[in-house]
Amino acid sequence: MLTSFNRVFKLALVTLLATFVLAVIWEFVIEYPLFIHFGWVDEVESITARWGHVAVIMAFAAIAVVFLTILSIRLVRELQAKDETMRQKDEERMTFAADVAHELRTPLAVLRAHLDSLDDADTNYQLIQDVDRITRIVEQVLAKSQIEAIQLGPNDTADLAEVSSSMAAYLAPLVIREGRLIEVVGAESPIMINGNTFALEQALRNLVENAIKYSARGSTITIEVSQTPSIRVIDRGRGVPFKEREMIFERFHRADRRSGGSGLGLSIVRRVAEAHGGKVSVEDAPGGGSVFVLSFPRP
Amino acid sequence: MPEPGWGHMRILLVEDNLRLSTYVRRGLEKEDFTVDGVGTIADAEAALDTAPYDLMILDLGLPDGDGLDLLKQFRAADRHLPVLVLTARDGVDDRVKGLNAGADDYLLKPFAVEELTARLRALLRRPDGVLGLSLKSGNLTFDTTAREVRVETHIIKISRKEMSVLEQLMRRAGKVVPKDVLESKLYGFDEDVSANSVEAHISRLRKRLTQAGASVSIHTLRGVGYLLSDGGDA
Repeated sequence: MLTSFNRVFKLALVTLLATFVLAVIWEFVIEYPLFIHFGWVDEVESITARWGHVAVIMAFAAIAVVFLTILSIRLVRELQAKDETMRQKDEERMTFAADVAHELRTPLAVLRAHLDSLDDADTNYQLIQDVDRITRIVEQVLAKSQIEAIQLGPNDTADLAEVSSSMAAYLAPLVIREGRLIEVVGAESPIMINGNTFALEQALRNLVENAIKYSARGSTITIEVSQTPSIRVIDRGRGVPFKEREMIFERFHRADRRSGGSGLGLSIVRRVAEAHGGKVSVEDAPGGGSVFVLSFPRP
Repeated sequence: MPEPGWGHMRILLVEDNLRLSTYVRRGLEKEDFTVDGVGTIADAEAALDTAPYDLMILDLGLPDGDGLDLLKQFRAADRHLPVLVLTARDGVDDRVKGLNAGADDYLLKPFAVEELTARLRALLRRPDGVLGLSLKSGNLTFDTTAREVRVETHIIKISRKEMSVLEQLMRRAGKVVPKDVLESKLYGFDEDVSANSVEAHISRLRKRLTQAGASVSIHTLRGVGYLLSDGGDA
């Protein structure tokens, strides 16, 4: 806050100083020798009178600078008030999403615990899957709002290799339960970028969940990290048709309405990519399936 | 099948949502735990003063205050009961707050009762294996004291190294065990662990388990680690 005001004051002082220097140069370096040169001796004024001119110029300049400074300070104040309102709104939105998630989790916990206490295993299995799906959507809504508010600082660093290994280990039980395998390639040494670990984990999680959804049982999902720097998530599924490749990253776009997703997953991925100054795209995997590529600028 | 001895374990469940409390209690009683349920901090304090509990399950948002305050007071009074915190708030902050206040573990709502009982068992085992440790996955049991591995009731013969690998996998059944953890376990027996050594032991172990008719499977996840699943999946 002080820095904005400091800049205004600094600019005011610099303006006054520059006016003074220019006035002195005009009076003593240009006009005075010129008059002497052309012999307009009558018009040559005394040095004292010339300092008088400088004083008058400075007085006018000072008045102008004072007006402009006051105006600038007002504008800075207005801008700061707007920033503050925006920040508060962001915070409110995040708190709201967190509250919603919180309020939904308790009834979901009741539902889940009730299902666990019932004996009809077949019906329960289906219903538990539904509860898990709703839970995941609640999580995604929360993640979405948290990621929306992310602002990357110059000192925020993240290790893509670490993000990939830890997310693969975290998701492996789910992947195995869904009858697929997961592997990580290229994560032997750190790949540092200017990034936010939480956001990158969320992006990768959504890509892997997406890969589970659209690949065949028994297939392997590959996370490939490279020094480019990039993360590639490769599945052996049916791939993404060319005309859908842009749309799938839109919020609430769902390739398959029956799949029961929230339609938020890939839009979270895109937002994370953009917040990192990177991009996400989808290509065909050699031998069938798709490759989602998250690429980042070099640090 | 509940392990022997859990019936003596008395658990205090502090949860204000009556229905959640009922179902969780039902689930835990099925696993042979003895459970007392209370819904407020005041009742929890009274219960803790009157009965000897082996563990407390604590919800964070309670009608007469924050569960964490109870936990802090409780720890400040130098009482050492394992405490598992239940919360609907996620985010790193809450977790850190909970664990700093003296919680031993943390579970985010909603959760599977199965997951809850697994966590409780892990906490109850903690004091240096007082209960003697019997690991179970599918039809496979591992008695860590007698160093015996059984499929159903039949003891199967496996080497010491494979047993140590299996123990690590079973301790974290359903979760990933990184390759270097297994490597470090094998170093205990053998100074020179070749690059493929872990994979070789795993594949021998896998073969032996299949031959013996074990329902578990060991998955190799390249670049991630190994995961033992109880065979409930495909």
